[in-house]
Amino acid sequence: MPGQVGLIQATEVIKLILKKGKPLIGQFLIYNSLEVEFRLFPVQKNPSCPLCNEEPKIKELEDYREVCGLESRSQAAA
Amino acid sequence: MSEKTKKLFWQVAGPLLRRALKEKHKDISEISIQEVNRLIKKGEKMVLLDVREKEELSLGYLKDSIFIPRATLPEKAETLLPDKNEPIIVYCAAGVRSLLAAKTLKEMGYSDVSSMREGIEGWKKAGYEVASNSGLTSQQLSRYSRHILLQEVGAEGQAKLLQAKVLLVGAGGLGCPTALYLAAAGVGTLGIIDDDRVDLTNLQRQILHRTSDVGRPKTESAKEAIARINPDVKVITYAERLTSDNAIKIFEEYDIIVDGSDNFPTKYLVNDAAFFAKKPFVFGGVFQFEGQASVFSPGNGGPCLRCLFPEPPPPGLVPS
Repeated sequence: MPGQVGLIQATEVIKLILKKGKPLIGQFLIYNSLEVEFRLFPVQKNPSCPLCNEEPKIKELEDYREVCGLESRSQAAA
Repeated sequence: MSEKTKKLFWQVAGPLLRRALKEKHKDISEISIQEVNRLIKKGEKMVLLDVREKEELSLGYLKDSIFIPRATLPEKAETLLPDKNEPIIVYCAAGVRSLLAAKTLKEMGYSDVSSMREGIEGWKKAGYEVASNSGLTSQQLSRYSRHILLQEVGAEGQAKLLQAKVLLVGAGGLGCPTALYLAAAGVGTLGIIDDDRVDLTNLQRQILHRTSDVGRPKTESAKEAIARINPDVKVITYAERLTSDNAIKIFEEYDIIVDGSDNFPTKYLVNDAAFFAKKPFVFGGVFQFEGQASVFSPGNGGPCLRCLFPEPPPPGLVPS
C-alpha cells in the first residue's frame, strides 16, 4: 500500500519539476486498495485557514508534539 | 504502429534484425565502431551520415555528421552528398536502418558506403563521446534515453531533473519507493531526513533497506541503495528528527518537499515549514488499505493541509 502512494508522490514530484500535466494541487486523491477505487476530491483554499490566509493565526512554527499530544515517532502504518 | 512504438521496436529488436538483414544483404559492408573511432581520430576524409529521425538526435550524435532521415534519402542524398565516390559511413541507433540506408545509397550509385555496426547506441556503450546540445554526458544520454525520447521530457527535461533538489521527509514506507523512483529517474539531489534505524518489522514495505541493514541508520542504508541504482544522484542525509528548529533551514535548500512521515505532528510541521519556506509539499498518507495523496502549494494558488484540516486531530483520536 505505501508503495502505490509513494509512487504517486514520485510522479507528482517529476511533474512539478518538468512543469508538465496537471498536478494534484487543489485536488485530494483517496485510493482504496481493497475496492480498487481512486477518488479525486477538489479542494480549495480556505479563507479562514489559520496558516495561509491573509491574516494568519499561525505566524511561526509551533511545538508540534505538544499540539497533537503524541510522541512524534510512532510505529504507525507508514 | 505509432512512431514511438516503432522506435522502441528498432532499439530492442535491432541486433536480431541486423543479423537477419545482413544475411540477406551480404554485399553491404559493415564497419565496427572501433574502426570508425580510429578513422575519425586519424582525420580520415569521409562523410558521417546519420539516418535517424530528427527527434532521436537529442540522444546524441557523432560530431560533424550530416543528418538525412532514411526515408528522405532518395530525394535529398544527391543534393547533400554530391560526391558519389567519397567514403560514407552511415549510422542509426542500433545498425539496422543504416544497413537499409547503405543499400539505398549503393543503388543510387554511391561507391564507398558502409554501415556502422551497433549504431550510436553501441558507440555510447563502448564509452566514446557523442555530441549533444543538452550538456548531458554520453552515459546519461543512454541511461535516460527512454525519458529523452518522450516528448514531454526530452533532453531538456532530463537536464531539469538532474538539476532538481528534492527533500524526502522519512525513509520509511512512503519515502523508500519515492526515493527509488526519483533516483532512477535521475533527480540530481535527494535529501533524506530520518532519525530512525532499520528494524526487522520495517522490511516488509520499506524497500530501500535489506535484511543486513537491520540496526543501521535508515539514512545510511538509503544512501547506499540509491548509489547502487544511480551514481548520478547526490544524496544528502540528515540522521536527525525534523523539528521546529531545523525544518525551515533544511527546506530552504530544496525545490520540493515530499512528506513520507507516519504521524500527524510531523505532517503539520512539514506543512507549516513548507509554507514559510515557500516550497511545494507533496503529501502522502497511508492507513491500512487506504492511501491519500495531494500537492499543497499555497504559493501557486492551491490550498495547504490546514485549509482542509485546520488543526491536527486531538490526542487519543489518532490511530497509530
